[in-house]
Amino acid sequence: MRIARAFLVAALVALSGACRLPDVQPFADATLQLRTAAVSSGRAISDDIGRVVEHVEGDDAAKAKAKKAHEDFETAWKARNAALSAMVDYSNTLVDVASAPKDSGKTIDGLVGAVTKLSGGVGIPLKVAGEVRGVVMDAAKFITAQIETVLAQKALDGAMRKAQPIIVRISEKLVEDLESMRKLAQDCAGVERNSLAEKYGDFDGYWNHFEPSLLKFEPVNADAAALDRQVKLAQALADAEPRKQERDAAYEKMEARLAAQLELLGATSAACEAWAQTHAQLATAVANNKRVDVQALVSAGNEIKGLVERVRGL
Amino acid sequence: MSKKQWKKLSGFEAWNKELALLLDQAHAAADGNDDTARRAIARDLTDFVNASWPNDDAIKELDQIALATSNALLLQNIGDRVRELTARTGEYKRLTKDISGVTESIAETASALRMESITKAIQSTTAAVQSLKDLSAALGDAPTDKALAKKLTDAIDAIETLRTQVAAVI
Repeated sequence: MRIARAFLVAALVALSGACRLPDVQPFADATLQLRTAAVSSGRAISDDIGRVVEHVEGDDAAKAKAKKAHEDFETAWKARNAALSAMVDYSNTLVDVASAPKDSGKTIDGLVGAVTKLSGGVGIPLKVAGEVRGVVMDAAKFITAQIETVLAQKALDGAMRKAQPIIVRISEKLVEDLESMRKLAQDCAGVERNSLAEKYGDFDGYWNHFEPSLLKFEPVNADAAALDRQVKLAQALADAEPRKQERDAAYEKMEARLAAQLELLGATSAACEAWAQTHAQLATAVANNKRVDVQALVSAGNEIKGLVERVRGL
Repeated sequence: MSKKQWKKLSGFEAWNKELALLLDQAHAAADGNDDTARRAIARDLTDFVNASWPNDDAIKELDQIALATSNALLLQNIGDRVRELTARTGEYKRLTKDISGVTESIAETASALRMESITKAIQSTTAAVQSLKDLSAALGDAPTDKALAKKLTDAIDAIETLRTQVAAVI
């Protein structure tokens, strides 16, 4: 019996390379992250256009244009969210199929437990029952898992071949969208910058005009009138300092938000391409029974996770 | 005149002339298809507002014209980009339908595989029974072997009963 067991173990080891499925879980995780990034990007741009509506409040024609753009963007973005939700469903189903062989092992484990109980019930010595159970059930379990793996492989292969051109197309469209959104973010920031220029324009002109005079002033040989003028100017600028700080903070906030959005949009775009490439590699790996390196996709996912949190924080 | 030279400008006439040049460029950009050019002129107009001096009523009027023109260029860009996105929406709907179709077909396979695993599990008990029968046949006539053979037969009966019960469930 020990020889049979050793032979069986050797056979299992030899056969174990015959059929295996790549780990599709990282792809499913990345698809979910991509959806989160796209949803966050869409939300950020929608908020930007919403702010544009507020910034052009006094101009009815401009406000009407901005409102229409906001509504149209919201409607258009729903279709992207729906497409990415469908992709999440697809990737989860891939995981479901790939895990079926493991689940069948659990089903057999349940039966092995029941058989053991019955063996004990009829009084077979435990040592014999254990060995019989070990050899026969291990073999049965392995063979079943192999059959399941082959069936899962065929199912995955067929589905992933069909899905690949769709995924490539969705990825291409998303990259185009993200480029449009990169421009939208810049243009919305431009309107916000105009709003700040309107709010602080007086102040900027005043500050820009007098600050250089103050800095360039040479007190040596200056007459009393010039000195008095400089003292008054220095005091005026010192009085204006709190407003300058408020102005600088407003600009910094707007520029920081724009920078974070552009970074997220760029990283999401790169992740889209990595996502479609990884799916192609997974499809090839399933068809050719090979392993696939998903590290690039995992890294891209981790990067956008951090960026999403940053954009949400702003 | 470059923006660096704006520091030398002062008074309505000089700034008015500068704004006229920017408005010409803005009109050309608005008529063209280059969103980058529009964005650049829009930014120049914003910078005009920050740089113009002194901030008297006449200059403030120029600033208002500059801001309205800058916003108009940016809104033109925003409208164009949203139209681009809207134009691609139809294809997303088709692609969503396509990928949902693939998901449905593979989900059916996943369900079939799970049923298959139960079937295979039952078959595995058949293999177990056969192995126990082979073991039983290989035993000799010694009294201890006979006792073991009896226990093996009981085990086979029990496993077959189990298999029948599992098969009845599915």
